[in-house]
Amino acid sequence: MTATDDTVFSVVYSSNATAPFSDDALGELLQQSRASNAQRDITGMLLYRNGRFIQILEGPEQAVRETMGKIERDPRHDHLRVLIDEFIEERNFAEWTMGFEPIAMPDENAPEGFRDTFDDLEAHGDPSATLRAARELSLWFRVRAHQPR
Amino acid sequence: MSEHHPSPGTVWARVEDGFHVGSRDGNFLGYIERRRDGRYDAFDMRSAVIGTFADLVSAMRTLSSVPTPAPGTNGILTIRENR
Repeated sequence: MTATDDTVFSVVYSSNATAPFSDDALGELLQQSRASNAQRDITGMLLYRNGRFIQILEGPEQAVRETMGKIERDPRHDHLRVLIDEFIEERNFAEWTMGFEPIAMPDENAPEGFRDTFDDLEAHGDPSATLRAARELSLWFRVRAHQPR
Repeated sequence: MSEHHPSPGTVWARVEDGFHVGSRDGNFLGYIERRRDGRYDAFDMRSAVIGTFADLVSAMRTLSSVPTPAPGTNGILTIRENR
């Protein structure tokens, strides 16, 4: 796909938090992220699970790349790994400057025959599994975000 | 759990405890959520409930039998391959 002015560029990355995040620290990170993203026309979602971040950013390519550069230099992140970068037809998170939904580590084993989305997301050498897992997470997020509290 | 033979190409994934997603050939079939009462709700591509089931396998079987929506079908659960 060739980039044009209205092309949406999307990045999915994972990183380690350099220190455990309290709810307050997470709230501050989200506040900063939302303010910055609103200025740059970036939308997306953030997950924090067991000391790891999974974030999806989407928007103009240059703005997304600059934001990624900023995150890579952010001392709160370590071992950042880009899992997917791609041009997409339309935004998946147009309603969120940075959506967030709490997610816990599972207490149970996955049912027999089921794949684990988080294992697949970071599957080395299997881009189709990573892509499918990112879509599963997006789906999960959108379902959760639309459910009444 | 009774035996379930998934359709060829169908992938089932657990995102978190009690939240399961089915897909086939790059398209979501829908998702299954465990309710507080231990039963399972199956949802289609438009997030409409297609049934409530006593066990996960029954929900999977029903969701697997729903025809895969055409690519580009609108709904909050559309999955796309962009590469």
